[in-house]
Amino acid sequence: MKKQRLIAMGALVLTSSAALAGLVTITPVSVTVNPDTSGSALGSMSAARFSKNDVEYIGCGVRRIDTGAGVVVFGFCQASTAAGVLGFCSSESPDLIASIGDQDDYSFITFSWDSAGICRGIGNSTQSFYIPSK
Amino acid sequence: MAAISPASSGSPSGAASNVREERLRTIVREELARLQSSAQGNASTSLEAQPHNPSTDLHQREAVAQQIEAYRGAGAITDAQMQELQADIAQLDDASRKQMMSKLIRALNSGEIKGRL
Repeated sequence: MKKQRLIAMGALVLTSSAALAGLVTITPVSVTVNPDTSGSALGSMSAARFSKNDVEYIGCGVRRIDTGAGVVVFGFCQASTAAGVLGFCSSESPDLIASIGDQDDYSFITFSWDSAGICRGIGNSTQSFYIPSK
Repeated sequence: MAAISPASSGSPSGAASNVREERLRTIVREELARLQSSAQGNASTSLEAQPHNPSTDLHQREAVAQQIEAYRGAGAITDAQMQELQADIAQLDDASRKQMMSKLIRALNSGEIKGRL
């Protein structure tokens, strides 16, 4: 009887802990490539980083290069699915490059590109449910 | 401009392939430096006001295009090589820069060059 009570209490504690953890959403990296080589990619950085493979990733970055005649700024995004499907794009659009600066460690990232490999959209959503559970 | 042919296909991790890539890269970079130096030497105005020389632009673009072709032949590019390549692309005029960046991205997207930006 005492043992049953202990098991019941343990189950209650575990259930309570899970409820207190909040919503967790795991979104693996997905890359879609169209026949004309345009495409799109999405996924959360935490899901990619803590995935159980060593190929998945997603992220964006900015490279500023002083050419001596001015500074050239490249923005870029890149992703790989667990299966190794790749997506890359680059942009010199100040607005798109600014959106890269909005990304955070736990961002859910989306980006798309045209057939020339130029980024056409870069988005991010930073939510508590993208933070991995303990 | 020195004649450069793309590196032949093969294992990107092979020592011979690496030596060949390195040699190609050195030649292209020397050529780029020579062209840039020549363009600066001919200019009497500041760099900011310096008009692009179409002939120099073309040569620089060709040199970068050959670098990309060499990496395509090798099948891979390291992070350090990517940084150097992008630094070279940044030196190009607006139209050439966009064209060469597009060429690079398309090669990455197709998997012809394995690497990261």
